[in-house]
Amino acid sequence: MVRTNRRTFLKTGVVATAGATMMAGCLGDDDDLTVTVPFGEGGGTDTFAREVIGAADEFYDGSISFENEPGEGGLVGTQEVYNSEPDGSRVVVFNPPSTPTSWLVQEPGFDISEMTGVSIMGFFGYMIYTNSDYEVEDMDDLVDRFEDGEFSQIAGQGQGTMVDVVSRVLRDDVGLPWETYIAYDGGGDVTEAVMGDEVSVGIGTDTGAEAGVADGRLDPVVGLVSDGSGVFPDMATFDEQGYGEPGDPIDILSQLQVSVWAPPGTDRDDIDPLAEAIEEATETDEVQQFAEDSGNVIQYGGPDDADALLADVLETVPQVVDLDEIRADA
Amino acid sequence: MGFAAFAEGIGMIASGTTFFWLIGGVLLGIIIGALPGLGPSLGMAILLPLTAPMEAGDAIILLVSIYSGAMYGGAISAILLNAPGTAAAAATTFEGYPMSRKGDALHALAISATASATAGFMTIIVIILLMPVLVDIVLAFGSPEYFLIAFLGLAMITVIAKGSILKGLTAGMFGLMITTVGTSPMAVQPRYAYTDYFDFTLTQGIDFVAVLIGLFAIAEMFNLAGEKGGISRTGTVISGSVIPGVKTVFKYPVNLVKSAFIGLGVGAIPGAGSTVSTFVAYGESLRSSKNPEEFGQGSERGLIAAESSNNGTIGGSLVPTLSFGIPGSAATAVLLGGLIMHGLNPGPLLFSDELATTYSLYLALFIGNILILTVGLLFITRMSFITRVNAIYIIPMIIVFAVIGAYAIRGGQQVWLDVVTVLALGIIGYYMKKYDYSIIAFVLGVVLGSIAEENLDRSLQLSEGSWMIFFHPIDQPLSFGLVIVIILLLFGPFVKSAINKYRGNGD
Repeated sequence: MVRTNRRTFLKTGVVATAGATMMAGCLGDDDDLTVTVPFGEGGGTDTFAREVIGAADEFYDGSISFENEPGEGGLVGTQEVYNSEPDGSRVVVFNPPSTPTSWLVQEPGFDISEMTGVSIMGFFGYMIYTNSDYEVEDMDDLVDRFEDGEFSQIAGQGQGTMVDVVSRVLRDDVGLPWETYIAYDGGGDVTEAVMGDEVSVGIGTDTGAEAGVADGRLDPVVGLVSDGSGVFPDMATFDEQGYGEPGDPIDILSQLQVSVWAPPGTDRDDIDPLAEAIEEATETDEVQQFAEDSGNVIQYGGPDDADALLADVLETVPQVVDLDEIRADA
Repeated sequence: MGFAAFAEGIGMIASGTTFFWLIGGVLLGIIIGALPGLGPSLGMAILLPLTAPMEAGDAIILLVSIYSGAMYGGAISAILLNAPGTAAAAATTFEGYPMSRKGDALHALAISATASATAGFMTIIVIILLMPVLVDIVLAFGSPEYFLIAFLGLAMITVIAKGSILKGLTAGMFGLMITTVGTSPMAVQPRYAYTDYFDFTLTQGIDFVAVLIGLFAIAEMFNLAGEKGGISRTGTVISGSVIPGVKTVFKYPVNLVKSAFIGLGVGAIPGAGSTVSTFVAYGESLRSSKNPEEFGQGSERGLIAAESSNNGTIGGSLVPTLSFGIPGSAATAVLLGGLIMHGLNPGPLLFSDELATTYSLYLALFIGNILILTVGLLFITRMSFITRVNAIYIIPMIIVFAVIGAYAIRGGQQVWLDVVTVLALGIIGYYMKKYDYSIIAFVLGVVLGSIAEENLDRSLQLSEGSWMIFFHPIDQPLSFGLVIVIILLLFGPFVKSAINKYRGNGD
């Protein structure tokens, strides 16, 4: 048997590890802006952030880099930025009411309400779609089929996520009587499950359903945001189909506002240059073209709008959602 | 229309700077892939914002070329240093590195380039011809089938693990246990995460790329530290040339084709991806080999299986990505982000109005494979000199790459966890090897654990607790077929031996 030479290993290995550690430590040491996306690479929020904030680079005095820190519905990356220095060098992108709701459900050891708003960049909304083999016509037809027992399950993203919350509001407030919520990893998995008829009804973003609808495998049934859908402008919304009014909880919860946040206590002087650069970016042809191509809605809001949005969401969600029930089910 | 679009696709590749981006992408991808821990998804994500000012076609071809190059590049460090550059290259280490130890690194690198490129050519042609059918096949697979594919991979432990079956199963179970750390895949429940002490650090679980880097690269550096000379064992002569390596690949045509299409098939199933496909192909190659004892000692067949399935996966993974925007892996998720960012929405339009663009993507992959073959045979094979370099220089270099790779995997709160994982698994891997616990069984457990758990849980939720969701021959024919395959795999050898014994007695 070969005997390991401890001295050789220690001599070479420890010096190398120390060198690599020092080098890696130095890599993060710079004064430029780091944008943390607390979701996976290539997802809806990641693409949105990279496109809009990427375009803001041109109007920003300094370079902008991105990093992804996914996990726990955006809480991992958000907490990372929450704990960083409030010097304007780091921001995080999340989508109220999504990550704040995950925060309310999971109750981690930081206070998301203290985050400093930088800007709102736009929004995307949730909708209900079905497998096209069933030829579901509208919300009335869908509710009837659930009541008749033809459907009992509904597919959406993981337990405790925003889609889970929206599905509960649909059941308890709007009157869609589903029995079992089938959770999938991501929006793509949900559309795949509905297209393959593993589950016949799903909730997801309009952009995520676009390809399946265009292919004829999915039918859009109802938009859950009263402002309508940029992807399916002809799809009737829940209020147009007689299932509530604009401003109802389902309306507030189904509209994900892609926005930028700095650590608590960040000075306004450190926030304004980025907010202004983002505002200019939203008006560029490049970003407008992205909105047109992707179906995302670009709509700028400043630091005060972002702060107001977060406060509103944190006040509204506990009123319309039984957080204890979600925690118990999870 | 199809031919016109094909011609337009060729025009897109050949025009302006596109060809330059294709070449640059493949070469950059090879470097990214060869660096342990970096991998195609991180490499592409870093470059994604830089593509913003580029023409949409150029940007997408650059990203696809990086993806393709990186998937091949992972094999280089796997063969030369036992440090898989990508998770998909883990199976390559099992045969590629032993060949390097025997002084056959050049031969192994030639096999790797040839098998990768040939599998790429074959699978891309088939995909272009069968795209509409493949989409339906992909959609036929659901949670029960994903669970059974993962279970099939775990059942491979009985085939792949050598020596004591008990030790093999113990190693596999250990791998499965590691995947239970972190938030459970179906509920918001942290397990073994100790959030009171470590906050969110452990909620994301132990990263399996960090596990692989530690298990292979660091453990092997421990091993090398006890030897004199370089990676190629003292006394061995570095021999061989490129041509025999190329010929070797075509000596096993069934193995090559079968593995390439296992890669295509498994790669097209979202969630499974290249890591699973390489292990399934490698296991099948071992199972069907007349000389299974050669596996683990530098088997040419095993290396061909791992490399051809790895490259076959690339084309397969693009099918659900381009058809429905369903990424099958982290790398295709980034690619999907790039497509949307540049105004190319996945869906049927990519196969009608935008057909020329889709053809250009697959043509880019096809040309990329020519480049991989050329660069792989002419230049990468020359890197076999690394196996002659004294280990005293190799060890610090690999540890530096491994630690930097660990930093790069996830960043944030997980940085130290990943560094500790790499070093701890290095020690564990060294002792597992020393005491003959199967590393392959362990890796299968780590790779397949969460896929199996999540899909088992969801399947039973779908069936309201009925196990018939896996066995019903009419409602679930695919699941039923997979169950039969698993039973044959597990019990076939015993039945075969009993039948032979019976026949022997009859005579």
